[in-house]
Amino acid sequence: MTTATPTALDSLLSPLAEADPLSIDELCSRDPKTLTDPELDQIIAKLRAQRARLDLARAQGKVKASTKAKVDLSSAEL
Amino acid sequence: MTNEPTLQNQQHVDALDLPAWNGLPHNSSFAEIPGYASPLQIAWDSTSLGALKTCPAFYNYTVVQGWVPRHQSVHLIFGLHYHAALEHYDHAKSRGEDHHSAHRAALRYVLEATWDRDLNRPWDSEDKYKNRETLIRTISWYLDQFSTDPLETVQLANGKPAVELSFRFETDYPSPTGHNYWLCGHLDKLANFQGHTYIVDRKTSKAQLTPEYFSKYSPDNQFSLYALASKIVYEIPVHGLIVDGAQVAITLSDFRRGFVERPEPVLEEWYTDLGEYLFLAERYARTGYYPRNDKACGNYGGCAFRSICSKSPTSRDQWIKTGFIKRIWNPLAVRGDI
Repeated sequence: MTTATPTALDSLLSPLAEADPLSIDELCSRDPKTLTDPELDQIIAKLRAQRARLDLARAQGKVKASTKAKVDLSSAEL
Repeated sequence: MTNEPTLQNQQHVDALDLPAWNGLPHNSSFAEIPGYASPLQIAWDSTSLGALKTCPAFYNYTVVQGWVPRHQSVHLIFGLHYHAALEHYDHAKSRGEDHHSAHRAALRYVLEATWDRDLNRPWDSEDKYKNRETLIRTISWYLDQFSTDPLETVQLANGKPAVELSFRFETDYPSPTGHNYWLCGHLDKLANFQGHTYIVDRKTSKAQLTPEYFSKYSPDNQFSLYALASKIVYEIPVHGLIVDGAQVAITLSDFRRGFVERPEPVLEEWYTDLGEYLFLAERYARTGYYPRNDKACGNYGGCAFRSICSKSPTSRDQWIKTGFIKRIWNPLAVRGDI
């Protein structure tokens, strides 16, 4: 796994994720019929940012062993 | 296989008119047989067969009589939404949409499916592991992780993706109705990997996806039925099964896949065992007496009917009406298409 630095994390974070100050929770607390496609894209971007922060925390050894799971599912070997 | 089931040439079942049995409502899974104290199940799926194998009394309550807890299991709800969202993604990709568009479609689906229209608020599972937030996160992270998936969904001859496939086939075990017993079910997905076709079954769990987690799928009633169905129903030779696991924790979701094999002798043995269990089901239906397996009461967090079985037999009917509602489980029901 490539070690991610804070600088790398900044570049990982989509500008879209930070453009709207609303949190995932605030967006998802609305009637979904009122959510526009750009707002759904906001939710997706923020979830990706969450994942990026998790990957960084793992790279820095900050994730507890009990929550670690061996993940390499994008390779051909299962 | 010593008793080779009848081959039913069905690659995908949309609706199947089963023969009308004497005294059996059309497309019902049960038969009323003269002289039998209880209805006898003729069409079986892994859920109903698994219930019988777990405990005959549990099978009677939940399948024959159709009692379910008033509050549906959060694991069941979470799993159903997870499956449905990924199915929406598969269908969108099959229609030619790109990953992001399909991802958005899946997200929109699950947000709407988990919105309580009556209360005008999000679904509240009251569970710290399996809730709307972790559901949305798990779905989104899974779709991104597998945006380039080594498992390629099989495309059926009708152009639709091979997802949520319903199947039915006739066994060669005769029932007292004069007709044979049937086996039914639904496959999550058929996918190609490294030149072979696999049955893929998606699972969500709070547990870490260790080798021990995957080892519990052998032996396994559901997977053995799927492996048998793939041999008999589908013309696509299936190489094996893959458990597509998702760990759902409070602050993260992780994914891992594991192979599950079903060698021919193991399938033959499962099929032989099936005959034994069908024989037992006949006896229970004939006498109306379903014994309790009191070694299974504590499994999977405790049987829902433990409180009922612990009561005096003469009072159980009243207690069950208090804590449970009726929901008829019909293995013959085909899941809706998208």
